Amino acid sequence: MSFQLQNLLKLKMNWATASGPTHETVLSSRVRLARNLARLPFPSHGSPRHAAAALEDAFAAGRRSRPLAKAAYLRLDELEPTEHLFLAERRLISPALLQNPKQRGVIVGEREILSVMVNEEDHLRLQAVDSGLCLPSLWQRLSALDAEFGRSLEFAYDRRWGYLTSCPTNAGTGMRVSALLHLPGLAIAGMINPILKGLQKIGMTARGMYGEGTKVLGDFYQVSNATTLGRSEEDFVQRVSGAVLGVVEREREAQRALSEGARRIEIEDLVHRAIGILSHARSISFEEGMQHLSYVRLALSLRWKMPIGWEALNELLVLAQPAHLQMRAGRAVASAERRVLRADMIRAAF
Amino acid sequence: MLCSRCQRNESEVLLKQIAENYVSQTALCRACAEKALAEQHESVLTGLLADILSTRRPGPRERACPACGLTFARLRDSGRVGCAECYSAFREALDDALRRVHGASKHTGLAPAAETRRQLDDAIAREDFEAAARLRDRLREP
Repeated sequence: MSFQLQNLLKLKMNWATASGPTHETVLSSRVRLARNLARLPFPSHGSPRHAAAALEDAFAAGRRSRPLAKAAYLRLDELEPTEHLFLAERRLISPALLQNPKQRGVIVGEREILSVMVNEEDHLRLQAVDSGLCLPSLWQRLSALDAEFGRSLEFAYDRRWGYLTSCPTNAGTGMRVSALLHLPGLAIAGMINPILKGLQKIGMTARGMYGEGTKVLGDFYQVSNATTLGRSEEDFVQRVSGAVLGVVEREREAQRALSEGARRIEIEDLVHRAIGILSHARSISFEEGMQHLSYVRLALSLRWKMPIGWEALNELLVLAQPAHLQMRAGRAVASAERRVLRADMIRAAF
Repeated sequence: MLCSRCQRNESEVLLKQIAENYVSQTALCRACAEKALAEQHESVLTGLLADILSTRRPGPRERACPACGLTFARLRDSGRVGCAECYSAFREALDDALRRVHGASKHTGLAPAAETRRQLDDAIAREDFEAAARLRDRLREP
């Protein structure tokens, strides 16, 4: 394992610290900017030589910038497939492009707040992530980083279309503003679908984070702006913040109703069974782990006394994923044994 | 874990897919993951873009981008342009498609510093001092 990845595994992810406003419901906020170099074809259409030039330019610009001067600079073609999955599980690279690691890279800043993906769909994807609902301050940090990169690099830009992106659905601001929400109250109350539909009506994309089809694992949802053109960056930040605050309010109401009403005993039962399983299981799948961790998270949010705190629980959501377990073990581990390692790790935290 | 598609090979890739605004994560072997990626459209909007472009016949000068050689057919099928010049080469088609996808067809957000400086010169030339002050502030930000 590379030294830099070992460090990533050891150091804290700031978004998991549960320090931001409304972090009970909003695990993390994220702002992402898509940027391309004006003089090179976009990654999907360029030659390996073009991609190598883009990677070199992006890394050089990062090293010149103040926020990323001391960051980790990782080239994917120097890493193993498990290490790629590890980065994808931490959402530092996108899983859709794991097939082709050549001339791709990622810059990871301190505590994983700022990072830059290089040669994904676009030459650069600058992103900022932190705990709780904190989109305006994240936008400020990312905007400053964008300006620093813009001093070193000439970005593809057009007066009419704004920043030009590989997929025209990202053109304009190139900006995706999102929040990762934990909505166990609304899920138990059966109110998720109308809320998601309502969000879509006001120009948001809302979708489950983990799980297959309509079965969403652990009640984690991501809300983001659907379009990127025709509004200012601040406007997108405000709109997503407003939409997310609305959902946070609905989640609080749902939790209050569940914990005060006739269904309280049902919630207590779910939570305490979850604690029983998490603190005693000898083998557990990612799916089962996520569901029970979600119930314990709900109990924390209701301020019930729990054997685990916010930060440890948030970290488990990341560490219990397959590549993370293998990275911690320092070797390839088949799925049956991963379930055992996962159960060991969760038990140790409870 | 076995690949959930072919049920034969050991899975190596966790594939995330979006359908009807839900993300699914499926464990697949490498071969099946490549097939699945080729089949999927990354997002609802990309699908919408492809739908809009598919109803359009390219004009005589819209068949290919002179800079990178991307053809209209490839743009339509992939929903991706090849380079910055493609936006000029396929201007008409994209104008129509982007207006429908974004509900807007003009960028009103930030610009790179060089462009902001040009806008500042323009604002001063037409004596729009309010705009000039705003642009100057933007250039001063750290």
